[in-house]
Amino acid sequence: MGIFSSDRELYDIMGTFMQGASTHPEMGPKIRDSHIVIRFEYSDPEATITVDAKNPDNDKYFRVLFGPSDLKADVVMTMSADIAHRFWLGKVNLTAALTRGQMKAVGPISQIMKLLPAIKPAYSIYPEHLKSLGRADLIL
Amino acid sequence: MIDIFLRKVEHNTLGYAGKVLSVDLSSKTLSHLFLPEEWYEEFLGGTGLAVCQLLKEHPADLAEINPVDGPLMFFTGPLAGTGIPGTDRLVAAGISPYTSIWGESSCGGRFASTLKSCGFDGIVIRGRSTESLYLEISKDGISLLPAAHLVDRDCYERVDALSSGGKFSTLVTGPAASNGVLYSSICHDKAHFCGRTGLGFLMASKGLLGIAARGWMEPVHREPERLAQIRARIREKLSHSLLAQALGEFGTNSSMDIGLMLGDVPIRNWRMGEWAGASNINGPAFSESVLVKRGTCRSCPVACKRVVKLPGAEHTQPGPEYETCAAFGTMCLVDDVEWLCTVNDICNRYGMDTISAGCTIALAIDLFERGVIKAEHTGGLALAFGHKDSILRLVHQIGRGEGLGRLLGRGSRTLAEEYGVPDEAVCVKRLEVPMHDPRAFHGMGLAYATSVRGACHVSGVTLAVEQGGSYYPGLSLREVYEGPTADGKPEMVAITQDFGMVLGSAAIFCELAAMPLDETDIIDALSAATGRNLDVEDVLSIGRRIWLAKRMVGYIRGMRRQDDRLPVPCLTPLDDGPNAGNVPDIDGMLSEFYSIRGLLPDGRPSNDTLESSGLMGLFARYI
Repeated sequence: MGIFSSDRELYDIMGTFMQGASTHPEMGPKIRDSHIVIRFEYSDPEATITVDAKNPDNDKYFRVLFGPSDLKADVVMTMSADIAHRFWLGKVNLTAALTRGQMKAVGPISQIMKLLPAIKPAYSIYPEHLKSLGRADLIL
Repeated sequence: MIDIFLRKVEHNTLGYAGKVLSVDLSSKTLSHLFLPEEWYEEFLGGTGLAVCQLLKEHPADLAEINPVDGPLMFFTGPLAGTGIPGTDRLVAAGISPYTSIWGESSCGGRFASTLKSCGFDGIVIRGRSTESLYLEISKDGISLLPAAHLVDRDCYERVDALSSGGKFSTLVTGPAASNGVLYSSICHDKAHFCGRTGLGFLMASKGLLGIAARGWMEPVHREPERLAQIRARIREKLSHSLLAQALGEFGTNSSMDIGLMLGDVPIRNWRMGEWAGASNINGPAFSESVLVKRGTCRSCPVACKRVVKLPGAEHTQPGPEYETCAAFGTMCLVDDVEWLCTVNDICNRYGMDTISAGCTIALAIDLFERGVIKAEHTGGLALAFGHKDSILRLVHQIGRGEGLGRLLGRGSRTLAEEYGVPDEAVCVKRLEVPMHDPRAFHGMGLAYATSVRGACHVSGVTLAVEQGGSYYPGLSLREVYEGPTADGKPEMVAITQDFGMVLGSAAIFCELAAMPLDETDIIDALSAATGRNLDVEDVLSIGRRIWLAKRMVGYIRGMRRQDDRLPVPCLTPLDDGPNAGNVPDIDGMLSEFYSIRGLLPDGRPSNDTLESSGLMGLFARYI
């Protein structure tokens, strides 16, 4: 079994992390400025999280949707939930993951690349998020 | 006058033109040079052929010869002219006037295929002319011509003067070389540079300011139909590669953001691990502000070159690559896209390596801020990180050989020695470490320490393999390497050096265009071009032979194990950033590497090692 036992657990942990990012003063504006819809499709367990930076809520930099969505995605990232978890902890070499197929990215490369500056702050935020949820056991 | 239509059939049918143009500047004579057939078989092309030629020309005095008295050599590889993306590669080589050991630098563009279509695999230039000359090669003849009209011009103007509106492919040196800058580059058609190890200085010191070539023959390859299939396969791979797309979209600076995430980017003269300003000079920052066009080498769909236009400027200009953005941007703490375009343009026009120039200036600023260099040494110029005007003034001083620039034009190591702080120079074998921090990727640390030309990120495929951009399943490499550890690195470095010696240094492939490819693509292309049935072990053996031969040149020129080192700043832990507190175990990796490579304790390849690589004959007098 992977790190997450169910999609519910994934949403409770990784989903709420992304919701937290939607109000984070460093990550939030960078993702908002991408003006794209990015869909994360996870396996083991199967889950979908959509980040909508085209139609932000009033009090958030972007929207985060759990589960299937009709929203047309500009970029679709596909990976196992374990890889995603390790990635947000800064334990996955993005270049290697993309070239080895551990992560697949479909969409305009220009838009994918623009997201990179937004990712780095997550490496310190995600472990703190896990701790705040009482799940420090998931920090690798 | 030499017979320009002469072909040597044996080599011509093996993917080579079969002859080399020999130029003696002292006597102003031109002749054909026919290299031994076994050199082509055992050393393939590029620097492999160049190192053999160097040893042939200086069998007895290699240890003591002044670099400027040695030959300057240009060589192509067997794939130049095939139209396969990334294969129009030219290497320049000789004894480096900057490092005093083996010097080499390569570039793309179109000169290699042009030279092939002039009927030459390379050019060997000897002697020295008291008057400035340029070399012109076309079907109308080959001539050494007066170059007085080039003397007071910058690189771009020299290209314009020699190219006849683009009909000729050009190589020129710039005013920096004439003004004593030891890391002067060779500029090809304004957009491509043999930047490293000061071969532009070597060229200018011979009185040769430029070469202009216009081809007229179609290169002949053994299996053209198979080559066409391989060419289509490689183009297809590139079209689906995320890395190739990123290179096309944002140039080599596409690596800035990922590099920052991984701790690969050096900041503030190697002393900081993070800097918010870096994201202001990433690939998208250039593409969204000054980029007007993507440039490319002949036949390459990747198109990683940048053509930029600054606000208010009349003309476009070549844009900076990642190494320049890091050397003058993150290293000097300048996060201004337009300024980086300007400083890149100025360095290009003077004809000097932006890595060495930027790193030397970053060191000078650091020493100034710490009170080692004082205002009286700078002519009153206050140096500070992020201070664009003073940095630009230093660039001009270097290019013109004025003021403190005269010292900075001799590089970081000389600067540090002059001020009594030699350990502050971030160099290996006197060559500045390029813009990839070995504290993030320890294998690169070992690759730098043992590189045959001094610190180098392109003489092997170590960087691409360790960072994950390339994967060669047939080379007995792991699929993934963790960056900041020594685990498995000595073996990985040896293999990736051997493969890189063929891939890049033998002038076969651009390391960027080759990143999405695997060893099968490379070997298939080589086999089809040469008619040889090469396999992985053949290619690695050739690479090992080339690496060892260049290593021996360094040994003969005085390099020993103590020179296989990383500079102190790269072994000093950072306080912040992705790799805070982490430094490579260079001594541990080096011991294992020596064992794998078959090197003696003083750094020389053992007799058994030389024997098994077929090099005993070449080096018999030195062992």
